[in-house]
Amino acid sequence: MLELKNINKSFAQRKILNNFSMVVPDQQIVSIVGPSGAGKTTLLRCIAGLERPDSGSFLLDGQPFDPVEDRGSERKIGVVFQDFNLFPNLSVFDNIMLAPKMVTGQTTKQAREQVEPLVESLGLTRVVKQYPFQLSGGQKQRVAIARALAMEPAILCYDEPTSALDPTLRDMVGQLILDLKKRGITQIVVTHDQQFAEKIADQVVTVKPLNA
Amino acid sequence: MSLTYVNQILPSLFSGAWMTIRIFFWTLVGALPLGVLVSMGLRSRFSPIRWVLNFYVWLMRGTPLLLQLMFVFYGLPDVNIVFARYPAALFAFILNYAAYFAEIFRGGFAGIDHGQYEGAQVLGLTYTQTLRKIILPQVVKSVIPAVGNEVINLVKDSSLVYVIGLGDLLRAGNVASARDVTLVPLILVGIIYLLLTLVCTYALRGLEKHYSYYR
Repeated sequence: MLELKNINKSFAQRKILNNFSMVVPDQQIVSIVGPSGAGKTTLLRCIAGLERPDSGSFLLDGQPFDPVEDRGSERKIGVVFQDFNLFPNLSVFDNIMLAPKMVTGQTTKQAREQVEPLVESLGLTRVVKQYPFQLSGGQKQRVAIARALAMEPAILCYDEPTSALDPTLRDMVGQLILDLKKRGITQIVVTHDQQFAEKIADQVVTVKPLNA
Repeated sequence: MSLTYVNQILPSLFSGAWMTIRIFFWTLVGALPLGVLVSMGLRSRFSPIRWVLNFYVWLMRGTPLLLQLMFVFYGLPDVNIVFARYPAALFAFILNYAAYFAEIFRGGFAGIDHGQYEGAQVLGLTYTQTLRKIILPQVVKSVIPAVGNEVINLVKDSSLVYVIGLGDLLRAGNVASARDVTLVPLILVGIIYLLLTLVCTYALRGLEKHYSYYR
């Protein structure tokens, strides 16, 4: 369970998050919705350790937790970025294998044993040898999900998972997120799509733009 | 242009070409890694480092290489730094070319989407791992054409070493041409330069092809 308590974040003079608190229970899906500029992505970046909040605290399973210091093989938070940020110079397989090998220090064989079921369950077996530029948007997203899951994060975060997809694929990623929930994965989904959020989430948290 | 005459002067031209190749090769070996380091320093968060390196790049690109060669060989002994001719040439060439390479690499680094660093960070990779496995390979791919230009330039710039008395290809041709009062040696010199740049062109194309497996 992840708890956020009174998170504040400003950029220059503009306050983005004001005493924001929320609870993400284990094995649930929490969706964060709101219009653009409301601070959803900033919130996600704070949880992912890509931004340091000005004040406030995080608790993971009751223990104080600093996302910015969340590093190395013990890293708790996985992220699927809006534009995926796959590594174009690595094949799909190497994109997924890189962190298990370099960060966790597994041998290629160990990493392969862990990654192969993941690749199969996400329907990526046929494209493992391809490079990101050869993939469709939906495939890229599943590679990004596999890459994050290979590090077995406590929580998987998505930034606007539907924005790069057409409506059919939107439903597919919704189903995928629900499937992952069944496998016991805790997920935070940032989206501007209220309908999508309500369809998948156990809990919908709405953020509003401040001083707007 | 009698064949006997060509055969007579070819050995001296080849020995000059060997000097040209040695300078070319060792300059690349020294200047490419140094250029990468300087380019990273140019992007440093620590402003004195940026200031010093920008000054270095300005100095190297802002004065003629010919002048730098003369300065290293004839000027530095005044402050008790004495180089022999060949090391002096390499010293000046490496410092000069590293500055150009640094600017090229700086552009290459700037062209990498910041999302690549973040993608690596959330997977738990260290900064060094990120550079080695993700950033540098992409930078190298993107700078090949620009670096290639400098590499071709270097083949010909190496002829400047005559100024500190080193016997390179052009000088060997010059000597023969003045002695025998004929342009034949200089034509041969031109042909040898063309062959050297041809080899470089093909090598660079091969390198571009090697990196074309992704976009």
